[in-house]
Amino acid sequence: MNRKKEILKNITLSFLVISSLVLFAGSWLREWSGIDKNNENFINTLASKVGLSGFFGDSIDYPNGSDVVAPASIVLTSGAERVILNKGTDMYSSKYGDILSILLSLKSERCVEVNSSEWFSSNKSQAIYLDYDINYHREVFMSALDIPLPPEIASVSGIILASNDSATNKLVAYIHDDTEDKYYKISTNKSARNVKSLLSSVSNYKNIPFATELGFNTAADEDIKQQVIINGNVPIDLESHRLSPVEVSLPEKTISDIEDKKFNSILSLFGLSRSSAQEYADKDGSFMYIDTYGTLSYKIEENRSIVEYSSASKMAEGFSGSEALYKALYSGYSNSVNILEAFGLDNITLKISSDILSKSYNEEGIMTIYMDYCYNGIPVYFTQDNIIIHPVEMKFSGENLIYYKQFLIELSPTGSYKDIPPVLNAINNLTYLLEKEDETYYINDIHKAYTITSFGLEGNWCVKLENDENIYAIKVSIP
Amino acid sequence: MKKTFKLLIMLTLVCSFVLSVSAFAADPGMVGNSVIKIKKPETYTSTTTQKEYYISGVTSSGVTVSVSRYNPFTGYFHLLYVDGKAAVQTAGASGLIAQKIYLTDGNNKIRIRTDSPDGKVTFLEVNITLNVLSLSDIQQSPIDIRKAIA
Repeated sequence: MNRKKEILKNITLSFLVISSLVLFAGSWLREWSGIDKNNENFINTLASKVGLSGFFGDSIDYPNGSDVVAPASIVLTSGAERVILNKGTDMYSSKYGDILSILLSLKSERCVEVNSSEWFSSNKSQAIYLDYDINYHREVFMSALDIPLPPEIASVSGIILASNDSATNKLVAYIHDDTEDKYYKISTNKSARNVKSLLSSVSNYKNIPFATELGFNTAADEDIKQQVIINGNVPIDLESHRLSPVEVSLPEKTISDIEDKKFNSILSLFGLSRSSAQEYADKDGSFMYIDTYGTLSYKIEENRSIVEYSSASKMAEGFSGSEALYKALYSGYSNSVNILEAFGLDNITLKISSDILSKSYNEEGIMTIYMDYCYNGIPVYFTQDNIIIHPVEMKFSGENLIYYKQFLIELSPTGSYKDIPPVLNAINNLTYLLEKEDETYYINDIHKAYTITSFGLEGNWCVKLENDENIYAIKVSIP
Repeated sequence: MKKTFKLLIMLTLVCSFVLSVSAFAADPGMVGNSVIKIKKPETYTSTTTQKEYYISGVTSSGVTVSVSRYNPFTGYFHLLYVDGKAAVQTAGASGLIAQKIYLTDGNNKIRIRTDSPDGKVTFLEVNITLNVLSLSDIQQSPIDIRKAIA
């Protein structure tokens, strides 16, 4: 009996010594490598590797790379009709996995550059068009999806999966590199059967032409001035639309309502620790945490709350370049997802709204990433003077986060439907909005959205113009 | 001398005739006139398998565009109605127009009329043939054949 007690005592002592060594090593490594500042928690990473994820208090959700670098919309074409699936909708979620499987089966067997005509032609009859809405550097795309890209492709903004012809029925992929304005075709020996069966599994197709099919992507001629030219990849749904009811309000949950374990995880996202940070609370419900590494604040405004972080070192050591791009994007996206979840705002989907390219870093080596919110696949934009302002903004020096701001709102399915007129009405109003009657407008994208204004939530068409970072909300009255 | 002079006159007359005919001939690559440029269909004669068809074009702001179809039984063009509404549009500031019509099987002789704010009226005619799906189309597009049968 005594012997057994001795053995038990030795085991317990050994465990305590080992765990203290591990904790010490983790703390030392954090200080030495600065990985805490990069939003990695050494201890929890180690714990997850030995199957003890969450044991040390980490309740952070790490999204899949394929969810971070995901198309904003998927356009399915069958015959002469189309269905548009927006990210955040049930249909998108149900089909994205299968589409991803087709994408991941690609190998760069033969990659050739093609012209825009072949790109547009491939998007007819039977095709799956993945519209990423922004440009991803090739390294970001490959890291997120773990698929190789031919070296000549510098960036990805869109992919078409189609059958090469009805005779051989082989899968082909077309990739649009918008930064170089080039199109590439990857031929495979794989069957396009999966593409066709996926297209057959969807219903509710309707006649939605692309701008190229209406001829709106090219100017007419000198006799008649065409004041608006639309990117050929933009689907033009010419019907009126009705958006589901949704209202915006201050989140019901405040920072005080978040359970400790989750709250500590949120702090760790920014490299802060409750044990070492100084905490300040105000009567109005706002909080501030100040640590050696930075400051995290939470404040409540009239109809939104704001989480804001600022690094103590504005120019933290890091490096610019393609390797840093994906790390920065992934960590920023994870932060935003986890903060939304912590505040119970799970019905909001994130949409990346800025290019993730090497040239996204400015001369000082700082990159700004913007994100917007979507509800049931429809963007929900904050507006100021008809220009969209982004609810999520983050700045990186290399891969290190130096600034972060996120507006928090609650979206609930109440209120009235939002009717929006046909898209041509909005395009006609564009000239009045921008007050440049003699210019030609090049529209890169036009889509439906909810817009938050001082009058409440409205339904509008929103437009992105070429060489313009802004998104404009166009107010149109119902005819 | 007289013969040479006559030959010269004949040559001049022939050249004038040829030039005047070519001036009135429609440019097969461009559908339009000084008031409107039709983007779709791209040519005066075209074929499609789409029953639901968009006629698109660009004109000046304020021009009213109406679409009618020739009825061989009456010998007249009749204004089209789509989903209960007349196929008439007035171009806005962008000048872009897109009018949905439903084609009938076979040849559709379509007239596009423009009424400008200054009172000028023009007409354009295009022929669009709606083809029933071929066997290769059926094999390629199972969605369409299900709809065709329905």
